[in-house]
Amino acid sequence: MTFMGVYKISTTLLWELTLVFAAIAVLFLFLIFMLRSRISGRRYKVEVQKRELASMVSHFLFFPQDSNTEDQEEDLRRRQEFRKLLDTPLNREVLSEILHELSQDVSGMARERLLSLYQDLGLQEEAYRKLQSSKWETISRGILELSDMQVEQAYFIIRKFIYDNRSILRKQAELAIISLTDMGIQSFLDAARGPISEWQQLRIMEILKRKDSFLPPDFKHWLTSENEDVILLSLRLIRYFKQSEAAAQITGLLTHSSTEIQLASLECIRDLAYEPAKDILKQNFADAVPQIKLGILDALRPIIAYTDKDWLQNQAAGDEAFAVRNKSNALLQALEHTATPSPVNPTLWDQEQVVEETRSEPDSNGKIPIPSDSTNTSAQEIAYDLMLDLLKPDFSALGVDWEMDNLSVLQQDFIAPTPENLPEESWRLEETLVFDACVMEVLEDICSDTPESVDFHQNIPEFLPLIDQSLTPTNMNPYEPSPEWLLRIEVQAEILLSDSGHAKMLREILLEDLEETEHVLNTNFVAWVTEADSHALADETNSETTEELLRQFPEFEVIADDIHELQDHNQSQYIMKEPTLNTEDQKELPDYFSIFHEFFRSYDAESKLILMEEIPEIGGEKELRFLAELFHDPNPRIRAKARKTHKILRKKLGLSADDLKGPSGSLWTPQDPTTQKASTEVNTSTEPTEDQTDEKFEELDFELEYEGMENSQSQEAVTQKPKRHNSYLRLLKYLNGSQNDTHV
Amino acid sequence: MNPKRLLLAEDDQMLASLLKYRLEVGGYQVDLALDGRAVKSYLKGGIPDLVVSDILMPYYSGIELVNFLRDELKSRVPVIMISKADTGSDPQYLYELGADVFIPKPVSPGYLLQKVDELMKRMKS
Repeated sequence: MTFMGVYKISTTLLWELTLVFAAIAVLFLFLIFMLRSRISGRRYKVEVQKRELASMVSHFLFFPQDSNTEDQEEDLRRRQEFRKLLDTPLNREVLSEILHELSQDVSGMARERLLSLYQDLGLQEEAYRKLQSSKWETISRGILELSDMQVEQAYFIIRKFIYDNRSILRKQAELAIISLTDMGIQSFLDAARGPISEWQQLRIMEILKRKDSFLPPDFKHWLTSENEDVILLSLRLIRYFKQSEAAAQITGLLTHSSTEIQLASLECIRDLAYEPAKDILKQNFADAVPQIKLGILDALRPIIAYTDKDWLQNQAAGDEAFAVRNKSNALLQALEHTATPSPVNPTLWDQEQVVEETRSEPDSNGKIPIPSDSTNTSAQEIAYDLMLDLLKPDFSALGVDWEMDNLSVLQQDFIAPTPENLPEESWRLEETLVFDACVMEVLEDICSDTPESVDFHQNIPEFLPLIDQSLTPTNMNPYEPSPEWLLRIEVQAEILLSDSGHAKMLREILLEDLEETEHVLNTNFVAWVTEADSHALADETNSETTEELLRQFPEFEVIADDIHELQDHNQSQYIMKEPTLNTEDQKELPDYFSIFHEFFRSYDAESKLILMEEIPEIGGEKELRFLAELFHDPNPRIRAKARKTHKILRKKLGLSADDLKGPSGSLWTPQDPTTQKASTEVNTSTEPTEDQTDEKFEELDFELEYEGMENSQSQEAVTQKPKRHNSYLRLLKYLNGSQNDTHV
Repeated sequence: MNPKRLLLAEDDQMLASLLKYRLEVGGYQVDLALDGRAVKSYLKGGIPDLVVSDILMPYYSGIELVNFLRDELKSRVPVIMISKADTGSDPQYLYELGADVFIPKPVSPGYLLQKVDELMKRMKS
C-alpha cells in the first residue's frame, strides 16, 4: 500500500490540453496581428487621405480668385469633389487632423483661412462629439482641438469642465477658455480655487501674449483674492501689461503674510518704478528679513534719489546681513556715479510731478504764483552768481580783452557739438534746490578757509597768479593739443580750487612722501610760483614779497613750515625751482609740445624712467627739448636717464650738439652755457649747481637703483625700509652740506 | 521663360504640401524632399536656384545641409532656413554658417514667398 501514489494522467488528455493552449496562443497572436494590421492599414489610409486632402486644402487656401474661366471651372469641380469626400467619417476625421496640424505650423493669412475653412466645413461637430465621450483623453483632445481652431461658440461648453473632478481636464479647460475669449482670463481668475502651477501660469502668459487684440482687464481687482496663486498670477500679469494704476494696491501687498507675494509685489514696484512707494519701502525695511530687504533695495533702485543717500549709507554700514550691506553699497555707488542730485532714473511719476509742478495756474492778477521757498531763491541765486564769477577765467591778465562772445567762439572749437537729437535738458525744481544747496555748501567751505581780510573781488586777479603777463594766446591753434604751460595752469587752478582749505591733508601727503620715497623731489604738483614769484626768488632778501605770498596762500606756508621742520631747506628751493618758471624759458614754452609732457605731469618716477626708455623709438626734436627740460628734474635718476636718452635720441635723429641750439640758445641744449647761466642766476644762492649735484646724485643714484632692484626681488618691506631711509638721510645730509657750501 | 527651380526640404508632409502649393502658385517650380538624405542626393544631381530647408529633419539636419552646400559643393545658392523658434537654433549662427534668411515657425506662406522673391531678385541683380 502506498501512502502517496502518482496520479495517472492520460497522455491523450495532455495532448488535448497542449492543442488547446496552442490554439489559444495562435488565436492571440492572430488577433494581435489583425489588430496591428488594422491600425497600420488605417494609418496608411489616413496618410494617403492626408496627402490627397492636403493638396485640396492648399488649393482652397491659395487658389487665386482672379484666375481665368477654365481655372474657375476646375476650382468648382474640385470643391464639389471635396464635399463628397466629407461624407465619409474617416475623411472628416482626417481633414480635422490636417487642419489642426497645419494651424500649428502656419501663421498670417493662411492660418486665418484655415480656421475659417474648419468652421465652414462644420468640422467642429466632430470635436463636440469628442467632448461627450467618457474617456478623459478623448475629451481632452476635443477641448484642445476646439481651442486651437478658435471655435468661440465652444466657450460655454468647455467652461463646465473647469469644475470637472479630473484635474487634467480642469487645467485643459482653463487654458482653453482663456484662449477662446478675452473674458476667459477673468472667468478663470474668478473661478480658480485651487493652486495654479508655475507651468500653468507660464502657459497662460504665453496664450495672452499671442492674442493680437487682447484688451487686458484691471488685474488689480484680483489682488485681494483669497487664493495666493491668483494674486501671484495677477501680479505677473500687471507687470507684463504695465498696469501702473495698480501700483497703489500693490504697495498694500508689501505687508502680506506670504513672502512670495511680498517679493512679487516688490518686483512689480521695481518694474513700474512707483515712486510714491519709496517711503513705505523704507519704513518696511527695518523689520524685514534679509530676503525682503534685498527685494526692497531692488525696488528702490529706479526711484532712489540723491536725498536718500544718508538712509542708504546707514543701511550700507549698519545692516547685519552682508548681502544687504553689499547691495546697499552697490546702490549707493550707482547713486553717486550719476553725479547729479536727481533720481537714478526719472520715473513716470517724476514726469507727472514735473507736469503738475510746471502747470501753475495764473492767479487773479494774471501772474504765475511763486513757490513758497522763493525767499531762499534770491540768496541762492546771488551765491550762485558769485560762484560763477569766481570760476570765470580772467583773460584780462593776459593783456587781451576777450569778451564772452569771443570765448564762446573759442569753446566751439574745443567742445564737441551736442547731438541734435538729444532732448533738451530741463532741471526740476527739486534738482535745482539740491544743486543750489551743494553750491552753498562748497561756497561756505571756500569762505571759511579764506582769511577774512581777503576781498574776493579785489583779489581775484591775484587769486589766479599762475597766468603769466607775458604770455599771449595769439599763436594758439585750437586743433592742436594744449601746450604744456596751459595744461599746467589748468592743473594748478584745479589744485587751488580743490585743495583750498585742505592744507592739512596736503601736508600729510607731503610728509608721507618725504618719509617713504624720494618722490618729494619731484614737486611739479606744487607749482605756486609764477612770474611774480620768480622775481621774489631772484631777490631772496625780499622777505616782504614772500610774506605777502604766504599771507594770500596759507597752504603754501603750511607746506613750507613742514619742510623747514625736516631741516630740508633745499627741498623748498627745489619746490620753488621750476624750470618752466624762468622768464626766458616761459617765452619758449608755447613753441613746442611733446606728448610726454602730459604723462610726466602725473606719472611717478618709475613710470617716467620706463617711459623714457620708449622715447628714442618714437621721439623727435620736440622730445629732445623735452628731455633737455628734464636735466633740471629734481630726481637724480630721471636727470641721469634724461641725459642718456637725450644722447641716444640725438644720435638717432642725426643731430649734433650745435644743431640743438634753440632760437634763444637755451633750454634744450644741455651744453649750452646760457642755460646754465640762466639757471644759476635764479638758483645760485639757494641750491648747488647742477653739475655739482648731478655728479653726487649719480653716485647716489646707483645706490637707489640697487635698492630698487632689491625691492623688486624681495618682498620683505622690513629690510627694505631702513636701507631706503638711510639712503634718503644721506641724500638730505648731502643737500644740506652742499647748500651750506654754496652759501659760504 | 523657364520658372526658377526651388528645393523644398521639409519632413512634415502637410506643411510641405502647403508651402509647395503656395510657391508653385507664386510662379516657381518646386521639388520636394522629405528628409536630409533625399536632399543630399538631390543636390548631388544638380543645384537648384534656391533652397528652402527645415532644420530638424531625419538623417541630416538643415545645418548639415548648409555646410554640405557651402563647403563640399562650394555653392553660393541662397538658402532659407525654417525652424521652430524654441528648437534652440540661433539665427546668428545660421547666418554665420551661410544661410541667407531664417524664418521661425509657424511660418506664413505669404512671407516665405516674399523672401524667395527678394532673394531671387538679389541674385538677378
